[in-house]
Amino acid sequence: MKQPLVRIERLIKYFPIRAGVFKRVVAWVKAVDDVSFDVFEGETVGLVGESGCGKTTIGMTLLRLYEPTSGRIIVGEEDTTYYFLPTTKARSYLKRSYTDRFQQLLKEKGSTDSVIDSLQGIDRRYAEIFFGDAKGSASKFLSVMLSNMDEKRKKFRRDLQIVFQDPYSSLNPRLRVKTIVGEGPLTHRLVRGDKEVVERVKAVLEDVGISGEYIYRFPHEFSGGQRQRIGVARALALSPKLIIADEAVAALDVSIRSQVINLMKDLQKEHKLTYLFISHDLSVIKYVSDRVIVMYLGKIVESAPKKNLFDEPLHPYTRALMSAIPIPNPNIKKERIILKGDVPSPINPPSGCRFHTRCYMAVEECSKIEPQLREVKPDHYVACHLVK
Amino acid sequence: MRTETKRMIKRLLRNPSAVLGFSLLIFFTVIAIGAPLICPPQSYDPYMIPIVTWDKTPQPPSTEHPFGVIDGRDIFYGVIWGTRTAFKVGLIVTLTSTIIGLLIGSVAGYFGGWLDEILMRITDVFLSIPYILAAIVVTAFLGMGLNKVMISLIMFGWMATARLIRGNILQVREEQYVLAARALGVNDYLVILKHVLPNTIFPVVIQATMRIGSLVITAAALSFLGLGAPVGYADWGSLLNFARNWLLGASGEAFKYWYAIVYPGVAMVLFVLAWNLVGDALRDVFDPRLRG
Repeated sequence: MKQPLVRIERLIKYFPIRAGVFKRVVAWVKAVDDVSFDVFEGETVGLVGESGCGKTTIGMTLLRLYEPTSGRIIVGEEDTTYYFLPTTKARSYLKRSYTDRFQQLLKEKGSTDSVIDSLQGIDRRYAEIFFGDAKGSASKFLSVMLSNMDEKRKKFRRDLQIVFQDPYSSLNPRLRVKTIVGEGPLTHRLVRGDKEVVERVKAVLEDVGISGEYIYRFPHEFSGGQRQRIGVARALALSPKLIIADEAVAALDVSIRSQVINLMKDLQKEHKLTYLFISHDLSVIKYVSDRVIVMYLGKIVESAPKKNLFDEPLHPYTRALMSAIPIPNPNIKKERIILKGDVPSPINPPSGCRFHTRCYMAVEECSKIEPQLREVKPDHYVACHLVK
Repeated sequence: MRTETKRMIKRLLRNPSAVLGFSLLIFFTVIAIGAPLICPPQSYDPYMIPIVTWDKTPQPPSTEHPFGVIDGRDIFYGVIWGTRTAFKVGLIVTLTSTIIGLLIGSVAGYFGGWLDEILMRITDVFLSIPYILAAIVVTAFLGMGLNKVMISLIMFGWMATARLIRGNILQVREEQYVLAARALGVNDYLVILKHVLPNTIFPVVIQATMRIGSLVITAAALSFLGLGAPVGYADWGSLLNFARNWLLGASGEAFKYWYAIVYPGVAMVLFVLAWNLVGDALRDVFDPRLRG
């Protein structure tokens, strides 16, 4: 089996709502609720959904700009979930997810080999470390896992980068392009001294189609499309493996949009990049993605290779979305599925299937039992009771 | 970086109002530093204007007293040594109140939550008291003297800064470039230093610069009301206080005692103007978006 570059397991992110003079937590916004998916090397995964469905939160949590409420984020061969936690929290996370579990399994199975055999992937790797190098001692295992944290964090930051939506607020207005794009390489000591910074920045800028002469300009001296390219260049300067494009073209006008998308596609080939493309725009997603994940109210409702999804959408929500894509031909009459009402509040999501309040096919079962994501065809996953 | 500084200075030199502001400021600084040379002190306290005559009527400018005499005191001496007082009041009050404001505002902005709530309500309470009135009451309460005036001005001068820096931090904290810098792996300390502070501190510096001038006016107003410096202290406001009785001039000659008002008044206006122009110039330099 192919090794995923990034694997997200049962990711949950709740935001507290505070009120009153003492800012007590009165409710939680369930932005992302139990989401799992893999991103494989070299592919483009499109994450699509209405605004407020948690797509951006997934991106931010993946980058650890938000700490996840629970779940695991595995990058390459490492569990990175504890990387940015304070030490005490990291220790308790590691204990909870590994050492306690391994010891429990050992009691059940009797021998270390049978424990290791019963596990897969990253768990197996860590179990081998736990029973091998650490000789079953929790404290030794923890000290192995918590060693070289700075290096681990830096590697994580190098490998995962982001391009933001708003080309106006994503570049510091007081810094020159050289400083903005050179900040990453300098932080990670990929370059030393002013000369190397200039060289590196010029090279990256030319990669994204901006003349190297502009390195001493300020962001406000560029157009929206150019600024977005600078945003791409900033991410690219670290030679990352995965770039999260968070609505990266949503703020650009249509002609510029295709330029930037094509640029990103070219860069992908050239630098062997993997993209997680977050967008609400189905036509953009259709153009760039290899695989598409559709989200609704913090949950994945459907996930499939692009062709399957666009040719044969299975989930009622996906079908409604598809029917909303405009076709530039006035002679084609299209059956539109119009969804009634607004997206319900993620503070109190509907029971059962979260989509049942707006679903045109809902039956009684839908409001009671939450549908699980099932593989209904090869690689095509749907969370709906009605899809057989 | 050096070329950048050069370019910045060049740009400043091309801007006439900036040049005027900085020259005025340099001029006042030279006077303040050279005061003992221009007007050698004649008593143990150089800030007390020496009494040259016991005649209370103002005397017009003469070779001996180029700006005239009021209340028996040499106006020239008062204006020259008053420059020092102006700098002292302006700089100390602005610096101290800006630091207090920065501390309160940034704590409120960074930590947020109930701390923010409490600090901002305190700020609101202070803001709801009229500035001059509060300063008068506090000065009257603490007693006369320049230091007391400065204390009262500091006590009621920090709120604007606190609000400014808090608002800016709240805004900048959520900017995507701050998130981007964190995603690049820049450590928090550097993120604050490179991305948050430069986008929050400069408005504070500019505001403080402009406030130095207006503070001198406020201090002068208090002196004019007789609440500031002791009688005879080299202070522009006190000089104007002396002139109060002669404002109307003599019968048939409205401008007979013009020198009593014009010299300290012009000094004060130019001083305020200098700081305002410098503040404007700093804003142009610090905000790259305003560069042509």
